[in-house]
Amino acid sequence: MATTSPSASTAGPAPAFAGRPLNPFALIGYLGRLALLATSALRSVLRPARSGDRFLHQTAIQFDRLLASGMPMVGLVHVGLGSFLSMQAYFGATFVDGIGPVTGVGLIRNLAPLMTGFILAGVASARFVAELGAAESGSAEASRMVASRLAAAALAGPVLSVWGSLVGIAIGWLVAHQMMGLTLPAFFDMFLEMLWVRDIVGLVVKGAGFGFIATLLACHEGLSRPIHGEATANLESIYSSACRAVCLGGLAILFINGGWFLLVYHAGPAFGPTVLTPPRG
Amino acid sequence: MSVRSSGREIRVGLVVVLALSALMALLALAGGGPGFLTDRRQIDVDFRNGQGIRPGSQVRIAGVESGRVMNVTLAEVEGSLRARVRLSVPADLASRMKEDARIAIESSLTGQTRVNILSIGQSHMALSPGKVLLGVETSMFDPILEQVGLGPVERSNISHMIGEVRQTLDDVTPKVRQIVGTIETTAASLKETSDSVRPVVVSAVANVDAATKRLAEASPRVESILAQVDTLTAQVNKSLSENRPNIQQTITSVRDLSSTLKQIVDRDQEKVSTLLEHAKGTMTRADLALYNTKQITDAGLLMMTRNKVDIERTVANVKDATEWGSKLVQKIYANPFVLSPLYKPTSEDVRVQSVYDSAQVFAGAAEKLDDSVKRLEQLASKPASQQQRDEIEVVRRQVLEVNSRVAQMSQQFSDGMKPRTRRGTPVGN
Repeated sequence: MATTSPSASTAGPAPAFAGRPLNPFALIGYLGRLALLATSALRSVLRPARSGDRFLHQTAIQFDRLLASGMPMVGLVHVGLGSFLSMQAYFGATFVDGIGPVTGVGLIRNLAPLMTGFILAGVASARFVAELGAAESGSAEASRMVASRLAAAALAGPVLSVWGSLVGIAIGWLVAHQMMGLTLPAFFDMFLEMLWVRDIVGLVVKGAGFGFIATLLACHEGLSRPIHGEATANLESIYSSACRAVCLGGLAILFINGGWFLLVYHAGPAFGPTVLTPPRG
Repeated sequence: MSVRSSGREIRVGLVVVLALSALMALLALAGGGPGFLTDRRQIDVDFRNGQGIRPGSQVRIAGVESGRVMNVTLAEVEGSLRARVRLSVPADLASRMKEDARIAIESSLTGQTRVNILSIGQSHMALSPGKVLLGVETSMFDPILEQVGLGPVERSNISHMIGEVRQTLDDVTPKVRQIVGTIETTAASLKETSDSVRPVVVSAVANVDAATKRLAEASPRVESILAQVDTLTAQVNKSLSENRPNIQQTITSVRDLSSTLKQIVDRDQEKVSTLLEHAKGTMTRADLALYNTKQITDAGLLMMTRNKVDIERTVANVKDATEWGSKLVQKIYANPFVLSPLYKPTSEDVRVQSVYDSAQVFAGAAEKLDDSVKRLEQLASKPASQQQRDEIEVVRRQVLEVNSRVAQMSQQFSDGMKPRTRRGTPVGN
């Protein structure tokens, strides 16, 4: 159960980061609690406390919820992204043959998982911070709840990323076709020629990773947020915890995305070791 | 978030922090570009035109990214500033590069510049660490120029070839000039020689023409001589053919004689060899005698050469004695009573006798003087050593002495030759 602060309930909603001095040990402790939460969630899956725990059922429920709330937002965001990339590829570079690669490869390689991760961080924070406030931190129930949500987010991340890529690519072609007369083969030939295997792999890996880290932060914030007696104070703490989870999740997503790019793309052509084999032929 | 963290959370947090730090370090290394986990080596390349190359620009080989530009600075080379670009390439690629590696800066149509390793080189010497390469200058039109075979590598080869040709010309030109100068000098000398030899050649040609004419004129005689020779030859052949039996008999006789001699030699070989030895000894003694004769002759010639004057004087004395003897005979013939013991010469006889004696003395002195003069002349003709100079001095003194006596005697002789008065004094004194 989240901690209760009586003084906060009577004094009104507390500022989002009030009462939290900047303490290196606190930051290290925060990171430690995150790691312990993830391990406890994994332990709860591998060693269920009691029989009958429906991990898969709960995971499916959470997965459904995430998709239901995430797909509209991801789709809408990638409509803008696809159309913008398509037009900028032409008007910025005057390069018709580059519209397909810029839009498609750009979305799959970087933008789609990135934007999906941001959206997923918001959705997860909005939902899980409030849901997990009732659970007691460190309990088996809390661990099971976190485990199902982490698994759901790890699955929803790649699915939403693919969904966003498909929406963006389709919208990109439509815009190119409508505004510049680009044919379907002209759009997709160069796009498919320049698409690497590592791009697809990255879409999946980054989608899963972004979902996982965003959900982990949201669950931790939900479990550790103070519970107030008043609804307003509670809402305020939910709000501040969720914001903190989204910001920290976004920061972690950017860090993971940059690391993936450096390790897989920037440092991994033919003359250097790479995690993935570059395309042959 | 709870304000207080448990010890367990702190420990786990530390592990997470360490892991994140390692990951960030790895990402920082990955920021260096391709092959960030491999050994890398830095290569410096000088370009006249950097074409906007920047740190972080790509380094490609055969169009494939292989490294990064680490730094771009200005370096003064041969009095001009050049862009010195420091490349970071994998060590295995750098180890394959040679001293004549070709590296160029390429600009794309989008404005991006990158370094392109055109070729690793064909030299046998590998690129040594620290060596600064000279980059190949390129232009935006290189892709088009490459289609016609004038890419940066080809242009670099052409410029290198031109440089070598120029250097060869610079090395060879002084020698060629020297050779041309020598040829000119030789030609001038030949011209002078030909000018000097031409008259001789012309005259020789004229002489050859004259000789040819004379030969042509003499050709009938030559032909007649040849005809005579032919006739003579025919006669000889005829004689030989007629006398062939005789010749054969002669040859047979000679053959018999030679066989006889051979028998004699075989029989008397010992005697012949003994005879030959004696002949050899005789020949040796004859050689010795000839040698001694030569020595005697040489000595005699030397004696005669040295005593020529004495010999001549002796001959002269003998001649004088002979003349004196002849005159004495004439005198005796004119007055036989001179031989008589009772003969008493008159004063006139005495005077004549004294005059005669004086004349004899005068003649002897003159002869002596003559001898001395001859010796002096003889010695003067030879190289003068100290001994010879002394002899010349002696002779000179003799000449002076004799000259004084001759003068004295000539006066007496002159007085004696004059008729005397009754008092006995010469007439005219």
